[in-house]
Amino acid sequence: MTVHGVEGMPDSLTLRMAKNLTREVTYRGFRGASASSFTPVAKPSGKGKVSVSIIKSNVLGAVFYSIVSLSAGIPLLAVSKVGVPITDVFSISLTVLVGFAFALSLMQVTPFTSTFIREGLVDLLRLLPLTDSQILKAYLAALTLYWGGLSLTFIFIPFFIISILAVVEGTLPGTYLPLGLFAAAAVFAFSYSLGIALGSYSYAVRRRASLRLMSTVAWLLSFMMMFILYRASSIMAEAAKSLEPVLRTWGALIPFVGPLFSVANPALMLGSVGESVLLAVVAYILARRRISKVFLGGIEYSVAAGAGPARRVVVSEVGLRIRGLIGAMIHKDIKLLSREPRRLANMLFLVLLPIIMSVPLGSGSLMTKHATYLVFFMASFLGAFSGLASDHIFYAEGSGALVLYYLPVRKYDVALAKGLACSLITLPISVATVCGLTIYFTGDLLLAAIATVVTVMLNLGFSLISSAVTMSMLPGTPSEWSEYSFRTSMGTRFVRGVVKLVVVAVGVGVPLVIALLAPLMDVSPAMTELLLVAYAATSLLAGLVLLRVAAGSKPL
Amino acid sequence: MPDVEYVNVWKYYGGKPVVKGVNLRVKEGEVRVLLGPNGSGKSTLFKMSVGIVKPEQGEVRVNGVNATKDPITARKVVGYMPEDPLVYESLEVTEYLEFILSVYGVRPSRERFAAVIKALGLEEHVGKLIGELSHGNKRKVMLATIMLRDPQVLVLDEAFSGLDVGSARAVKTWLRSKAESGAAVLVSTHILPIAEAIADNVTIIYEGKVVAEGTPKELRSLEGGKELEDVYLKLTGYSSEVEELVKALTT
Repeated sequence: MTVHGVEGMPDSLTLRMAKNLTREVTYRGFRGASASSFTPVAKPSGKGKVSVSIIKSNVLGAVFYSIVSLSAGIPLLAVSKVGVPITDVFSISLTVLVGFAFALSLMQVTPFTSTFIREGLVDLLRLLPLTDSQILKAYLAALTLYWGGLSLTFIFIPFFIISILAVVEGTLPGTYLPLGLFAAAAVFAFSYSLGIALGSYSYAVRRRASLRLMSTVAWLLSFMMMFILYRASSIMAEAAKSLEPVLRTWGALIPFVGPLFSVANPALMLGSVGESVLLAVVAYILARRRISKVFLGGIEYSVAAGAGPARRVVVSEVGLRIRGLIGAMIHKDIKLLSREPRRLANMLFLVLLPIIMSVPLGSGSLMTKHATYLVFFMASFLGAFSGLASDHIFYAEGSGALVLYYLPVRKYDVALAKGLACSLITLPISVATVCGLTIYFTGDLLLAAIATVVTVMLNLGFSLISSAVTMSMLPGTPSEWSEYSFRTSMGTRFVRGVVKLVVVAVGVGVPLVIALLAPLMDVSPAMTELLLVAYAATSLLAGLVLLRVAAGSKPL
Repeated sequence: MPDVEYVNVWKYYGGKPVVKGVNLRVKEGEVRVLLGPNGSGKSTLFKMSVGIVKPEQGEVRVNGVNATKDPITARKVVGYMPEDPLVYESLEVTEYLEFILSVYGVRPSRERFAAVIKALGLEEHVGKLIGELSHGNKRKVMLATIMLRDPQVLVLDEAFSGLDVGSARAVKTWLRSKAESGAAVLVSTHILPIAEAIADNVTIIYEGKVVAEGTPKELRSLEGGKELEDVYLKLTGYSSEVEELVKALTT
């Protein structure tokens, strides 16, 4: 079956279908813990109601993206102070915005499409007397109007308004404006099409390890992009100074914004435009094929989505592997997490974030003067912060959490397993980073060993503390677990927020205070080491005690 | 001694009683079928056997253990299957079975595993993610965990819902042989011929109250030896007026 041309349909019906579709995707996504965490759609309220409107879904995003866009555009008005040609400032700023638009579009479109397909929502629509084009129209309207698609345009709108002012003032050559608009349009066409195509492979991603790995890396990069977003202005300033010669030579090859870097060479510019158009067209064709096959084809999704046939298993040869209670729960948690690339990436991001923030400490004179203190600060920071990622192990349960309520397991067993699973995932990265950086910067193996012990104890301690806090905040009745399971009342939200804040403050603050005060108070490095090891051991003990108190022997 | 006992059990939702003083006992070696319309309180009673729902009044005992006070022991004893399939959709069938059996500390032999999978017609599905299975096959996976555990108390809500003819036959045979080996079996179903075929005793519940109980033969005799369906309909408020209304819908 192919996608037919879009036929006329009362707009109000399309909008109503789109609204209901968005509400359903939102509800099912949150219930199954698979919706995007960065989608400006109204979240379910405490009573589980999902309120959706075009304004609600777009206004927050529009404001946020406008601020980003303005911060990218303002240098155009102060170009004389920057000391860089305005054309370079325009091109580099737009490159960063195009990058954000690409990442954000993918982060919106892919989870929506994935939930739409995985939950079989198209089946509901196909039961009604609707044509393929009507279904497609409703899906696209939901995506663009009610899922925050409109807000994405604000990544560019303020920037182009400022650019128009610069053109009117005569500081920016007029040629750059249409090229910039072309870049914005092309990146949306490309990323929307690509997002639809990628989202349609959700079954295949769940089943194939290689695709899961690729998907996890892609999500991680997207989250890193979000981190870069917060540092956009400084990065742009650095890029303008250090990357300029590189961009002038190779910039034409950058998709969508390439033409901006090859204005002086019409042939190169034409090639660059061709490259961008080609990319957008290929992505569009791929999306169209996937829509025809998976959305409207009426084929079983698992087959249509490219998952291929299931693994052949000879039943008589299967030997079930029976583990201990905690081992089985950890194994299950890691399996669940590994099949949710976005969730896994979210968790790994919490490990990578302190690494990104700590690594700069290792360079320069700081490390040579205060090596011991800095190493222990890094170890404590990484250990404590990554331990807080255990929430994601709870959220990965999604609707499967209901299974646990029927099993003979105590809250303590579940919380302990989740804490340990978190450490198993995060510790290898944290330990490798702390150990590697310590040896690299100081060459001191003993210091590296002690730092590793601190990292391990803090990570385990904070994983257990975080796990115990989360467990104690779970709803009283059997329910699915996701970020929104905890939003039962303002009081619970407030308490949870305060508790987490205190945990983060203590986890990161205490080592920071020790590391900062030790040199000022002439505390010897050996004593500092002892203090931090004692602190780490205390946190581990606190984790175990809190787990026992908060979770106890009560059944779920 | 395997048994399930409900003693004067009351349950309220939003101030409204949904279970009203139910007394019910399933003895060792007995298959008892619980019949009742949707919303009559069957699932609520079943959930009480594993302590998921707590009665406001009365007591639910499984093998003498108070399921409300000690749900963990009750859950270890009972093979409970809820009406809706509760499974991890992102796990493969074998991974799910491994997890559940590990929690119960049960280590079935290869032969037993193969026999259960074959009996339920799941051979083609063991390598699949559970999320890819149909509703009926998901229920079969849940049944497989119970069959592999082999508990002596079975509480199965809508035991035959979504099962194909072959699997339904396999489950019927299994339930009867479990009872013959001394297990206490409590099941609910809307399929009355199956109820008649497997039940030692039938309990009919309506609006939270037990309205009749006895062997299928005893219940049939209430309506002068008519079908169990006639007895059931009479006791659960299905009147000739409803029959006329439905007929009128087609004209």
